[in-house]
Amino acid sequence: MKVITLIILITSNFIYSQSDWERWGKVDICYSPYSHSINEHTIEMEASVLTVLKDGYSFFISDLDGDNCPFYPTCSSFFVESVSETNILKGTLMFADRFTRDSNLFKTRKHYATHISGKLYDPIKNYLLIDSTIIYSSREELAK
Amino acid sequence: MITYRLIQITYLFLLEIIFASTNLVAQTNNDIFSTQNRIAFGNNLFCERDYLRAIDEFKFVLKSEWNDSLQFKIATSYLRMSDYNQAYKEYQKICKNSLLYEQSQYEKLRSLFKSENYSFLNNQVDKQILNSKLNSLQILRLRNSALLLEDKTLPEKNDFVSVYVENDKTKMSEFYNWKSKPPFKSPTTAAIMSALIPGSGKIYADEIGDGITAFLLTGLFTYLSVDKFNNNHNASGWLYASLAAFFYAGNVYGSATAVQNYNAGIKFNFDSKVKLFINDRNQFLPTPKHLCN
Amino acid sequence: MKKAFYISIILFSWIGFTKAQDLKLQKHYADSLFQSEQFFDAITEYKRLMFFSNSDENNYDTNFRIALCYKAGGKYNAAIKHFNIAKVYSINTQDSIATELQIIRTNILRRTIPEALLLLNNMDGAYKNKIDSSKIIYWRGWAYLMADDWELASEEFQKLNKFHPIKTLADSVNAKKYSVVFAKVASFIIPGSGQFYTGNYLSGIMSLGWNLMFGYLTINAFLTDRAVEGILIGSLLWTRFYKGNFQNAEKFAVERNKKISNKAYEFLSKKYVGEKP
Repeated sequence: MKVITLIILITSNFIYSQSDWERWGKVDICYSPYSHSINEHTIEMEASVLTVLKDGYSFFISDLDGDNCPFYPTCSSFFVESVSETNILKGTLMFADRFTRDSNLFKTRKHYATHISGKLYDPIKNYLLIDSTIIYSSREELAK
Repeated sequence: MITYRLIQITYLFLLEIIFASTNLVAQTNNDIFSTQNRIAFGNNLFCERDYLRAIDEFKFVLKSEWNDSLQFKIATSYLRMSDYNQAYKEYQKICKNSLLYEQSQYEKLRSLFKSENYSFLNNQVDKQILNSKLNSLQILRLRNSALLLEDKTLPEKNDFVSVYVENDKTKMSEFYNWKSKPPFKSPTTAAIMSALIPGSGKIYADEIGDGITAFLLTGLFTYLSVDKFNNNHNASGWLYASLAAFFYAGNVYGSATAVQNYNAGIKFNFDSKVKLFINDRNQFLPTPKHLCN
Repeated sequence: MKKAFYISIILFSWIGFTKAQDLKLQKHYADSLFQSEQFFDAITEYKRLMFFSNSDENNYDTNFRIALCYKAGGKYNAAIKHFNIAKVYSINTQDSIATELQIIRTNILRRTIPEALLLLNNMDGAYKNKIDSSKIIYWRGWAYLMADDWELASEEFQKLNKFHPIKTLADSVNAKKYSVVFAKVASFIIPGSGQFYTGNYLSGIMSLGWNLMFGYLTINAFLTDRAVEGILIGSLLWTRFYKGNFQNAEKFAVERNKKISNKAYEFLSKKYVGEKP
């Protein structure tokens, strides 16, 4: 019996051996199951007018209408990021498209990868009209 | 009698020395940090797939004496831990007169393929083909497969497929056909379609729900705007008109990007299919033998 | 010749002795690495020790130590695997109880609470009379703690001692927590009231404001024969803010509760002096 258990344990080695493929040290134990949940993504924002707009939008609207946005980054962040990465015209076009996709009546979301936060991953880079910047994330894996 | 005693003592003394020396030898053999023991322990770790620790042991041994099979195992450890660049560097340290040289050349190509460094792989293959020792057919198989994953023009179909074994030929010619004529859709077509009928470009890009939503949003705001203008509410008429324009323009733009994303998606799926197939065939290269016994 | 024979026996035994001594030294070396918290290297040396020792004598101890190393490094799967190996090699009941408890504690840390609870229940039956039952209660209480179930945790610790520090902590957490259902239902009836309950006054006022405004606009649109506009405002804006209102109240309550729990967890990890998983 001992031998059988040992054989099983040793063969199961292959599953766990990967934990030693990188050097590791002592870790601090955290008892709380909620330690990771309060990490909101913040973008570096240069345009101060945009910042005010976005903060105002968050304060007056998006904080109050429930967790409607199924995407990561959120609609307001998407707008700010796209405007600061391109220009006001293109950014607005991108936002209009995003808004349409957000209010999709049929909730068909098979075309998006899942972000690590549990939302649908929908980065700005995929909508710049430039083929080479598109990041296609596998649907099976979580995007970071 | 005394001489007999003397002889006995000297005999014992000699015996003592012999044993003492064997004892010394034995002690060094027993020293668990001796070279042989380090190798033995390292091999054990390697076979347990505890590669990082195995590398530490082997590298310690290599500091004092050269051993190409240990070097090969170090490189293989990196390869199996998916550190392909380091693996390539370590395989490169095995020199030409080694028995493992041939296999290490194969492994180098394997590392390059796995690290998705296809252009460098191509370069290396051109060099390797000149080397008659290696099996050039196998290398050509890998090179051709790598071509499928690159943005390069493919060779003639017959040349491409002929290097593979009979069982793989149908699959490879399937891949070849896809690659030479990928079923991409045109972003321009999508944009024009959406400009004519809002939402139709999205449907063309396989985003049916988004397409219908875009059609409804644009239509609704256009209707409201016309209605307001008819009732002489010009201010709200303009408001709804601008909203309609906002959604209309966004939809034209979005249809083009949706097609781009659709294309990226089918390319990604094709690439993963090809990679899966090639890795399933061990990159068409011979695998090293007797690493674990 | 007889003498020579004896001498050789003594000498050979000396060889054996040096090997044993080597292994002893190795064990000390590994132990010292373990003590100085160099867990990765300690595992290497324990593995070396196991590889070169011919008997199973040390296997329990060594595997137990390896598992402790993995546990300290947060590699809980590997830790549980090695605790299980150690259990196979354990000689007496005391040892197997110790490993079993460690497996349970690692499960608690890994947050596989159902497994921990199952193992605790099994232990009750398997080691009857051989184990101090207060230990099982204690770790069951910890399992509930880590699952954020302070009520059940309080019950368990009460079995140990009415004035157990964790029991008092759990009770105070329970008293402080907000009712998620109440917050949601309150906002469902009067928009913004759930937010007031959780202390988010500004949010509550704004929620109430939006709902009154869009409610008025919707009704007004219908009354003035602008049905399409009414449907539009009602479906896109009013329902959105009404739904958002009670979803928000729920979210606030959950978040407040998380903060209360987090404070208690911080107390446990920093100030609590008793045994921890």
